[in-house]
Amino acid sequence: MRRRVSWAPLMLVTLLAGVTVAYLIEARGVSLSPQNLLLLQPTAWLVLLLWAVLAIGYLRTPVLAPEEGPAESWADVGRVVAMVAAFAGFILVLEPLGYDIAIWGFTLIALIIGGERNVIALAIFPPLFSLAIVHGFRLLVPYPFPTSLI
Amino acid sequence: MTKPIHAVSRRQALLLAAGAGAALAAPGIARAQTFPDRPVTLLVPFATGGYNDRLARAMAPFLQKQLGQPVTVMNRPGGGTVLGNTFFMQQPDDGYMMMVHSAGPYIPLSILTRNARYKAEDFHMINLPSRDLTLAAAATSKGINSIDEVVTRLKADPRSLSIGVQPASADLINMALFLQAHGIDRSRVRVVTYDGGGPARTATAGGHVDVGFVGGEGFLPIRDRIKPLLMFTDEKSTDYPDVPLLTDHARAAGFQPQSVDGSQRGFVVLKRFVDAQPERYRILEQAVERATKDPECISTLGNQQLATTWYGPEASNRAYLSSAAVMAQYADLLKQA
Amino acid sequence: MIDFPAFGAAISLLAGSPQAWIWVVPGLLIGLVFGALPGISVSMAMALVLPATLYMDFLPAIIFLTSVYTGAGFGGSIPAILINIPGTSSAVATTFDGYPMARKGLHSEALGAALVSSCIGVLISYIILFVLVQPLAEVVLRIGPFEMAAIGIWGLVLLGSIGGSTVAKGLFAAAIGVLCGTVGMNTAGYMRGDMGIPWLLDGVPTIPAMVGLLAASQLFALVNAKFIVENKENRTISLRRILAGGRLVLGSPGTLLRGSAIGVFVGAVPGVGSSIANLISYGETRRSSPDPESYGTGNPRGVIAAESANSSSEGGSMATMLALGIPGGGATAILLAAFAMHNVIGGPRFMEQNRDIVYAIILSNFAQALVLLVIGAGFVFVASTIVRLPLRYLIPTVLVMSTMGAFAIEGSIAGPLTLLAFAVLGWLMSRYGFPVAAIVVGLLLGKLIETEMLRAYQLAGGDAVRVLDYPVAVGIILLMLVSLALSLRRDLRRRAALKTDTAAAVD
Repeated sequence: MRRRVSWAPLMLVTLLAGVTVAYLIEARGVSLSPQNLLLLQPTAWLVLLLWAVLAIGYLRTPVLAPEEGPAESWADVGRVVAMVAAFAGFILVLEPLGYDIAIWGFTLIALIIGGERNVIALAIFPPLFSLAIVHGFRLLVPYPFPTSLI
Repeated sequence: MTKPIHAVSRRQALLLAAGAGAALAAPGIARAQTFPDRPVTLLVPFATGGYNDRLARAMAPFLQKQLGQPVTVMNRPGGGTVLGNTFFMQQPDDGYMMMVHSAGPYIPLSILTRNARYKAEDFHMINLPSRDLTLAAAATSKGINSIDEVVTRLKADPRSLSIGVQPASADLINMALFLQAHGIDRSRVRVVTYDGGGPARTATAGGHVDVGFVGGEGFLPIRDRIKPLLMFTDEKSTDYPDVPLLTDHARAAGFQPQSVDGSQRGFVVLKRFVDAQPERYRILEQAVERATKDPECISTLGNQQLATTWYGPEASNRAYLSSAAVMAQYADLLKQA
Repeated sequence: MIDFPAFGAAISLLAGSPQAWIWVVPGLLIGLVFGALPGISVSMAMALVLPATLYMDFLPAIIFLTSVYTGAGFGGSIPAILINIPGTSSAVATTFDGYPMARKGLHSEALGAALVSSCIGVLISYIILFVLVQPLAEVVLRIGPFEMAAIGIWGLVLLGSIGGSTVAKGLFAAAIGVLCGTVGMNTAGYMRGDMGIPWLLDGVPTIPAMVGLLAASQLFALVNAKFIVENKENRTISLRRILAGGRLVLGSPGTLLRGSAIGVFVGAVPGVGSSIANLISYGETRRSSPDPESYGTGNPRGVIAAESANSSSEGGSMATMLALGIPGGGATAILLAAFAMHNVIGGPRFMEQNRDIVYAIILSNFAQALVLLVIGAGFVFVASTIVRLPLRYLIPTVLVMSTMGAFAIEGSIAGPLTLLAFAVLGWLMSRYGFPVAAIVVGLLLGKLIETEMLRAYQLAGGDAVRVLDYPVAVGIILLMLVSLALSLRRDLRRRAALKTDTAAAVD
């Protein structure tokens, strides 16, 4: 059987295991008392153990070409990544740009990523939606949130 | 939200306002002054339903009457009030926000135990009507009848009784001082920690722990289920008139009574604001004073077991700062055993 | 234990105050809308309407608030089913089977099943409350750290590796969730993992994290799809099918009763409540089922188990509030605040002196459960139009609403940032076959287990033998071991049978 390394999931579990190690070191730095580490430390060890098990698996993934199902096309993956990036950008500009502009911009970009090409819809929906959300949540939520225009 | 709703007469209209908080809607009394010319917010650094929240909501209509502007309540709980305090520090000094806060002990405690970036002196007390005290209590089902019984058993074997307490609290300091005075090794006592007064009281009343050291006021609704053992104060409490006091207990046991006050709750603003806007501060102070002394307010709040004593800024700040100093003095007791 | 004169007085009280009744329908509707909005919790909905009740009489005010409570309790299951968003932590288990049902085009059935099990759950819990309010409250008050820790561990064992392609992946995900649950200050006052961020001191904000893990990550995966329900013929909005879903509930009385019982007792425990009850109920139903593999793929019994447990928590937490004056969670804290605003102090004395009012509250909740059946059916009928919305519109809309909901919880950017972090984590992990549901379960139960285990450890003074002083906890653990052994034996037998079958087929 041919085997190969599955890099992406390997990197993911390794990253999470790394964060876990950092967390464990930090927590042990706070205190070595069992009142601090009672659940945290055994769970962290469990994560590292499972990391080892999973990592070995990812280093030796059997190549089962026909059974992998219809592979995602690069365009599909690209759209998903673009949506994740757009969402991340949206959250990060909420405070600096104001909630109204951020919502309008994100809705517009997400619609385009989602495949909406109707110019009228693109022109109308994002601002109306932004207006509705900002006003709606102003009524519902007692907390102020920064906006630029509305 | 734009039209004012005369609340009592128009019940149906209230439903419309309900979603937005009808506290905003108030019959305004026209005043010649310019401040305040928009709604004033009471910031509560705790979740809804607690003492400060109830106090803020109960006081709001009476403050509204004095200020001539709607008074709303905003909760910003978390981080042992660090989040609420930090948020408050970030607000402009325009007087449109006051805190209703357990300023002592939470502000000094958050500085001592949570590395908060502000100082106790950054805050200015308008009035702290509510003073809560640590009460040692046991569930009635436990059959513990006196604090002396607790001391005797703990002296014989520190592991014989479990104690429920909040970490990083005035109660913990009082418990630690008490055990120290009796020469009981705190590190050997089974101390069970609860992140909040509510859970600690439930654990005490439910008998999960043998003795609880928690603020006494919160116990009032479940007074029948607990046996109060000792109040950490030197003067008789109106809530628990028959409960032994620390001073008497200490005299009998032959040690110097030492204790810190529990929650001191009331109206708080920033020192910065008082210095920058003395006229606006005067208006707020007067409004709080008049509302607190309003007979209708006294009877309404009294029925809800909320305090309406007017101590004034001078006495309140003195009490707050001295309790902050005592906390700092005992800071090492807050550290984990 | 029913006080009949007081019961009669309660009936005349309700019959004599029609203005108490007009608030039921608006209350339920407000509750449904707020409950259905991601991030707006039951207690927030009640806090928002609280000022309005100030000007009502006491009984109408309480009926209005409990109507909001009942409505919001069910409202959370609507986005849970339709878009995998648990509006509150008590609807987490509803997503496990509700959302797969929706994707298969069985959204109407899932919503109907959720509605009917919620209504019956509320009804059962209030019947128990009606008959046994005092003993129920006593039992709940006695549930201490040992018992709670045992319940939490049971939940984690039942659900720890839920939905993973391999056990290692499931456990890895659950352990990551548990670690996230331990971030911040623990109950003993130790602060770790907060990275100097003040809001992390209280731990990872649960609701944004959950919405991020379950919903946002799922929405990213749907970017290339056109509709939630792929098959066009199945995108129906049908009252008949909603009712058919309701009938499914009547066919599973065991699941319903177990869920309600778990909801009443576990859901009533102060401070823990319904978010744990629905997980335990779901896990138990899955474990005791003859085909546990079908759970997580759209088994209606999963929805019934979760919804009956989370709605029956309401009656349980009302019991501790009425009989003891102890608020079990945000919602009952607000009810107590409303009591206080009307100069009524909850607690044992109130119960003794105002039995008629207590009965009136309970009776009106019976009525609320029945009215919810009608209003709820209409509401889910309208809500199910979501399946007709093209995903290219639904995805940004829901992401924005979730973000605003995450903001609304504490009014700070902390919520949206948490949402983002966990959305990315959830998306990556589900992409590589890790079950995000297990992370959520770990996160919810990890917090609980650490707190309760720590208190148990403190109570025992580090001495493990002391567990034996707590027979109920030992009982729960023994029960757990026995039931696990039984399911393991059944699994082994089935596997052996499967092997002989395939062997026979090959022969």
